[in-house]
Amino acid sequence: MTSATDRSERWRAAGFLLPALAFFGLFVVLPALSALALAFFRTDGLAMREWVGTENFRQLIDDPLFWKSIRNLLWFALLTVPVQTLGPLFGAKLLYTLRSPRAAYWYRTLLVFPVLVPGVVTILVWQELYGASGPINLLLDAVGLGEHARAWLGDPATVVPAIVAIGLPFTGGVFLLIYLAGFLSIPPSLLEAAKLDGAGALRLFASVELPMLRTQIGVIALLSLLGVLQNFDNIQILTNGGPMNASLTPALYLFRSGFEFGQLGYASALGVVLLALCAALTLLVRWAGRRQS
Amino acid sequence: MPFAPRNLIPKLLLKPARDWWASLYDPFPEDLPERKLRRCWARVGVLFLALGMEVGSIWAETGAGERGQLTVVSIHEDLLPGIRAVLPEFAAKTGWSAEAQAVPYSAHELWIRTQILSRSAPDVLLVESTDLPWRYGHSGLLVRWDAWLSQPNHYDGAHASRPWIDTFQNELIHQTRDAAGAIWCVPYTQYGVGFFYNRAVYDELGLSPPRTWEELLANFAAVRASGRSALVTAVKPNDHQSLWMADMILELQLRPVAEQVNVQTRAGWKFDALDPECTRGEVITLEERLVAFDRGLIDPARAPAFRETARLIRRLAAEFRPDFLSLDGEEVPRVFARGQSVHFLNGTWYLRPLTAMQRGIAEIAPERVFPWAVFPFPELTAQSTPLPRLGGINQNSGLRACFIVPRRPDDPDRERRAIDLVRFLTAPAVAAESFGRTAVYDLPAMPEVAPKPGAEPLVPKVRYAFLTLAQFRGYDARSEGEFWNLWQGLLGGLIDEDEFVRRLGASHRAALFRLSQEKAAQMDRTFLRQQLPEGFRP
Amino acid sequence: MGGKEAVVNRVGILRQWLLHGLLAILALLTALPFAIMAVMSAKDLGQLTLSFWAWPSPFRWENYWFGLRATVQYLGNSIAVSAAVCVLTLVCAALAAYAFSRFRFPGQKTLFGTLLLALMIPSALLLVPLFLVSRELGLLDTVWGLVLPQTAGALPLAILLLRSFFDELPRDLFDAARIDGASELRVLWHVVVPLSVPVFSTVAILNLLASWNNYIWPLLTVQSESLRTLPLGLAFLVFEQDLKFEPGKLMAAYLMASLPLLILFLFMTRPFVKGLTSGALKE
Repeated sequence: MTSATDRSERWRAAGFLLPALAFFGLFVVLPALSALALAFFRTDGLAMREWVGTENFRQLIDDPLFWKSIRNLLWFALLTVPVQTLGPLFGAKLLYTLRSPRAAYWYRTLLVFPVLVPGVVTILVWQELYGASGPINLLLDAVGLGEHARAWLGDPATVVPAIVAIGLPFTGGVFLLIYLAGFLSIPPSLLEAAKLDGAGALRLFASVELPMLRTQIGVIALLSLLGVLQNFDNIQILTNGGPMNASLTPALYLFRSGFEFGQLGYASALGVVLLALCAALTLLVRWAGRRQS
Repeated sequence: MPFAPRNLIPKLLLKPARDWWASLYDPFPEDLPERKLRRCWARVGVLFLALGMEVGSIWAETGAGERGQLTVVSIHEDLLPGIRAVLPEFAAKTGWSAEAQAVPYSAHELWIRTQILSRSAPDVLLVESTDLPWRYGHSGLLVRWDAWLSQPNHYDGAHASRPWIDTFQNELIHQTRDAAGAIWCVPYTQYGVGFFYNRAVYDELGLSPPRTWEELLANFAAVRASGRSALVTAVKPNDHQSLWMADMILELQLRPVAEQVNVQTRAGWKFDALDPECTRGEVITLEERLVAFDRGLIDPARAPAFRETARLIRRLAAEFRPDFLSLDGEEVPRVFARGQSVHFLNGTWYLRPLTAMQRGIAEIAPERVFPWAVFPFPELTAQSTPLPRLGGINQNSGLRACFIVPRRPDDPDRERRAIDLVRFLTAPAVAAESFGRTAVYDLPAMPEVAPKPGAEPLVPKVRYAFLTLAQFRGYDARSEGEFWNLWQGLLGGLIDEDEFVRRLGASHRAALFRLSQEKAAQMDRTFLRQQLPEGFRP
Repeated sequence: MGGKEAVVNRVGILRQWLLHGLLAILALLTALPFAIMAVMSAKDLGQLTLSFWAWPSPFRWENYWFGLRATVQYLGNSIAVSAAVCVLTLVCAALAAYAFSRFRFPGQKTLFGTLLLALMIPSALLLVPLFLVSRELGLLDTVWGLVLPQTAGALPLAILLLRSFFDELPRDLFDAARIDGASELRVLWHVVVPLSVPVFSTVAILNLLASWNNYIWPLLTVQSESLRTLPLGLAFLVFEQDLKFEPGKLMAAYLMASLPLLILFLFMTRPFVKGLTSGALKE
């Protein structure tokens, strides 16, 4: 049973959604479906195409490289997601606490605009930093820790942290702006009420601001996780998954399978598995979030 | 409000600029009303859009693939001036004009892929390496050249009856063949490889260019004893220096089994290591390779040549600058030019960057410029290796730029014209004219075309018989990916030679199995049934 | 009483100074890559080879002149494409996010889930099918071929971000507006948008950055030189003028390419004014 208002709301919703959905369907859903369908073929994406059913998935389960890439991914995610989620929160809190709006404006600009540096340049700079006679190793030598100097990107033990460290100091970027917008939307009446109750700065942060920023934290953790899952171009330029596959991630493995090894069907199967994994993860996070609240 | 451009300029340009300028002094007027802010935003948006539309308003459509016009696209920009110079001659001869364009090297593979897939590819492509032609060739998207190459090239003036294939250097044709022996690209340039060395250091230490492996190691030790780094190199899928060394050594050490591998030959064929012409026209087919692999002749896990090669290169790796696993190929000549390492092994295309860098250094610190020279890869002696050898090291020179032509089932005439253009461009007389107009040090693929004078030291002097009996890096792109990781592991000291050859053997076997499945329909079944009664298993 | 207040004030001032110190360090660290790029851009090949980390001497001003000439011809295209992507995305995403946040309709959760899922599709897989779709629609080598697919790609993230902010807005505001008889579009434009200016500008920045730096898609779809966007133009430049031997000039070109965005950033981070939104919320 639907009332008249319900029905009109539906129509209005449809109208509001139409432009976005038109774009989305045509340029995202359609290509995605046709790409993921390849998972059931043995194909190089060119002329050869042969239906193999679930063969690609079976092969994937037996592929030690796939499992290695998943392990690397967990390693990447464990290192990246917490710092990328909490770093900007810290930066935003500092900015928000600052009294002088003009100083806040300039700090904010300084913290955000370096996202303009093209990725190629960032990589060039860090490669120079990590070099055998680069500043890091020279510094270690100078303070008497010379035996710890190493080819940071060439050592399976350090390659993952070294790649993650490229985001240092993690406080800036667009995530900072998202948090800042969150801080700004906290009603001042809430803060004032808490202050009247005699809450200190820490209490205020923990019991008023943090709960109000729950959505933002969730969104950013999700975005950061997605970033880790999708990121392959940086790794491809820096190490191409080496040494000894120590920095191979599923996304990079997918790219290499599809475009370097010419196994697009296999790559699509990897994509499907990755997608399922992400979906499961998101559902889990949202379920956990709902249980908490 | 009536539309009047006169109002637009102050409204759209001056006001926001003034506001913005004021905001620098006081970014936050406390009383900024929300409506004003919104208007300000709208103005910025309109300004941005209007400006973009204005500047970018010369958008026009271009028609591609006109009749009577061919397009050549190259990923090597430096070859284009030479090609452009001879295209008018082609137009005069055939009535088909042609134009040459470039596509940036970065992401060119993706570009080529989408162009070929969408059937909007240029008529002729000048690409690098054989991997890409093989892949698209196997998918039936490229012209296969074997039949064309065996006919004479009618642009080849004086030699009108010589088969086209004989205009190219023999080894290059061998390198062009895929694992099943087919040719999907026509060679155009090749690189030559040698050790670049710092002559100032050599003079200071009283060293002379080494001729044997032992002398090379002795020189490296002397350099190291003087507190310098001996050899800078990079080990990455896109930096092949260390693989070239291995290829040179492996080729030498596999020569003794050439006749056992190459069994499907013309009657009375004999392998003579000292006669480079003896391999002309010979092909190692996939069938032969499967059989040889099954017998252990070219199986890394069983053929001692692989293990021995790995041992020698690993011995050399002790002399690498320790950052070799993280270095990028681009940085290698920079380290050398800074005087931070005394040798690096590389090819003809490094002559130009190195010269440019030294010119740059001369401008700001002339005392840091040093003289350098090149010596060829040294010979292996009985002292270096216990394995039998026939002849000496074949100086590595390999295919660099080659032509591919996408198939055009809808327009066979156009396809034939494109093939004709490739024939024209590779005719020695035309190619000589082209090369004369470039700054490219790479060696022409045609022996009759003289290389640039500066490339002299990198032109191989002595040649021995050449057959690609086995590929150190594997037989398809996937096994090559696996190879690089094993190789990094071996040279980085993470796995030893035994483990390396064992895993490389498994990788090669899997690659050959994949290929045999793909090519099952085209293979000579009777031969295989005779030689491999139990079939080839992964 | 006065004494206690003074102590509190002094602690407050101390804390402010501490904040300044911390933020200064963080800002410095964050801006370092940009600073290094700026320093590199003033060097020539000799300096970059010999002394990568040293201060440029002599200072190569001519690099900037080159960078300016190199970028200016592609600037218009980049601005137009980025602006169009940005505006289209914001309009479509705001409408959709509003619908998700304020209406109840069947299939809402599924639809939103699909949007989320779209964020997770490995982008490399999409390239070729997307190219085929664009070709079928006749979009290759046109501005729309650059704008529309990028807009579609940016939508899921924009909707996700906007929705999460719309959800947090107090309900009474809407009810009040509705009681006044305002239509939904008016509510969106007059109530929701002013309150969400910070998040709109965040989304805009995200979008601008993505489309400004997009290299692969223009490379694949654009053939005519007059349509090249900045990254594509620079790539051709590196290639055609042997810029690989002149990294300093290349850096200068990168620097020039980022200047328009830098100026825009000074505008775009303006809405992050403390009290702007909260003032409205108080009423």
